[in-house]
Amino acid sequence: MTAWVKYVAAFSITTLVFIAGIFLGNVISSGKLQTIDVLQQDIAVRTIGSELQYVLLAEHPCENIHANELSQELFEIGSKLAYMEESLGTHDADVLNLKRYYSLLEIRHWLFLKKAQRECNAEYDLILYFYSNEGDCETCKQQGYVLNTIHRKYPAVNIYSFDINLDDPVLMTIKRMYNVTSPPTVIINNKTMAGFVDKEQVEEELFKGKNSGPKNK
Amino acid sequence: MEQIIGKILLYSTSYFGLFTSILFFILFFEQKKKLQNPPAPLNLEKVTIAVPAYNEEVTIQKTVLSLLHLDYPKNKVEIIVIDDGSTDDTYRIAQQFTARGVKVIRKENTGKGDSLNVALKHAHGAFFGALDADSIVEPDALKKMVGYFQDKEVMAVTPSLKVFKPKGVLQRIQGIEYLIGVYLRKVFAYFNAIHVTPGPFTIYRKSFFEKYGGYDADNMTEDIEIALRIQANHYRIENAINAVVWTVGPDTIASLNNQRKRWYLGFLNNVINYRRLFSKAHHDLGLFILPGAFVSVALAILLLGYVGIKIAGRLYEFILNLRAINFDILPWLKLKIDLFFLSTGPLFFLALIALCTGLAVIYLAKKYSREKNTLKLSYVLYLLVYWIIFAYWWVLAGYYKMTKKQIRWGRLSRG
Repeated sequence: MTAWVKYVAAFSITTLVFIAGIFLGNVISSGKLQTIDVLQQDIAVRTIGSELQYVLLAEHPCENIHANELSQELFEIGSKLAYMEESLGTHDADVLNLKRYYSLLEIRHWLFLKKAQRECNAEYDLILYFYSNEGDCETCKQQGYVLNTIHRKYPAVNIYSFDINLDDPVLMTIKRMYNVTSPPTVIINNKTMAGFVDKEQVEEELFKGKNSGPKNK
Repeated sequence: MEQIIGKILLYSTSYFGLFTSILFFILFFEQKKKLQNPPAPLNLEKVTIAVPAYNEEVTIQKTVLSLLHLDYPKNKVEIIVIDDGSTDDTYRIAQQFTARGVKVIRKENTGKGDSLNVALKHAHGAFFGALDADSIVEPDALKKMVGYFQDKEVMAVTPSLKVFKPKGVLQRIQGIEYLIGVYLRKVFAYFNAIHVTPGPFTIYRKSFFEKYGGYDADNMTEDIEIALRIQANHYRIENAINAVVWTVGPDTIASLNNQRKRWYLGFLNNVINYRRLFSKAHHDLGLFILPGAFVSVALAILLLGYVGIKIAGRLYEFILNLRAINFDILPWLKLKIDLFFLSTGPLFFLALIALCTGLAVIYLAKKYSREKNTLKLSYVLYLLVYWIIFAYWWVLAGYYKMTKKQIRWGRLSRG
């Protein structure tokens, strides 16, 4: 081989390997997004199932609520979405779509629990969290970490997180209802707390008016 | 913005690394037939081996004995020990070998380059080489090397340099580093682009010194200077991959840092002096190998800076997080493992490919320098962290270059 042929050959092989590496990476990323999609479909079906169950069992609707399991799974999907957002970027169209759907699922689940709370006199700890990852929220990462810790410590607490910048009418309504204007905002059992809330404050709010506090599984 | 810069840096580093590795692989396998050394001529010519020694009473005996055991006609090997003003027993120990034909010359302490020049004056061989007093040659090494000199263009033949019985982390790291060097030197020989002729046991055609002068005694790295001088005069430097020379690597961080500071700064100074090598007239050496060396150093340093900033940022965030939860880390001790969170972006695969090429290089080096070709987990660790040390040494050398601090080497130093 003459000298320049070697360079051309190396250049071609490198480019091929490079493209293959990028392609493989992208295939796996979209595979992961698909996993999230499947998980969300599953949750959607099961939420509808719970709701129907609730309506059907008109006599004793309150005995059959297994809400926490779903809320746990929703939370896991949330972490996966956040991870994908970090690796694909906050403006990835697929991620945004999944996120919008995810928010609706969360709201639906949250509303279901609120209803059960009213009608069954059940006690649920409900936390709504509004964050932003547009770079305009310095404490959002820490706030997320605090709530993650709460989730690990008290699995019975239902935590729903929402991207404050997500342009969705239902989300807008909730924001208006709870007076949410800037990130981070945490709403613990209907009490709106704007700005960063540390772990102790969250715990205090959860324990308020209870003897034992949230269940610690 | 910084994310984009980071991505550009990571992708260009992996592209450049991959390109270089593949180019080298192509060459290595294309020329594999030439891997066998040319046979030594029937009429072996005389070879002079100089052993410059400064306070080497511990190792000099082994070094000289290994030379006496060379598989080469005894009357064709001339061994000259230059005692460079040692203050220990070096001279007395060397003297014991005079009965076996070893010449011992004692002189004031003037440094390695000058010691070699003194040896050159006394040398009778057609070829000339040096062996540091901390190195040992395999008996068949010389015979494997001299065949290359049948090509009149060849002015130097380099051996495969390996670390003798590495102990501790530092020497083990050097052990793997030298193995990669074994492979690279062979590839560079195919390119005719060897630009360092290692001090221990590189054999030169003595007429080169007669025509172009002896060692540059004031040079920090006289072995790099000679190599570049040979290249600048359009001669060839060859490599005998299966001629093995064992050397001792520094075993403390300070001495290793010193050695590298000297090597890298010496390389920098010499390459600047011979900058005319960066030209089409010097083919692969001038157009790719030397510029590529600088590109890889630059990339390694940039990457070190980038990764450093990244890690510092993560650490800062981690501390903020811990503070936000009042250091209540108990909930985090329950480990949940989910493969979903395993990074699988394009860079992950490129890094994986880079790791595999690294392992392949070590494998080839071991195989062709006659070592058991086993792979060890430590090689993976090495490949993951070595570039950091490499970048650090270059930053160190660059700092010395820019602040114009002089490194003085009044004494003979190793390497």
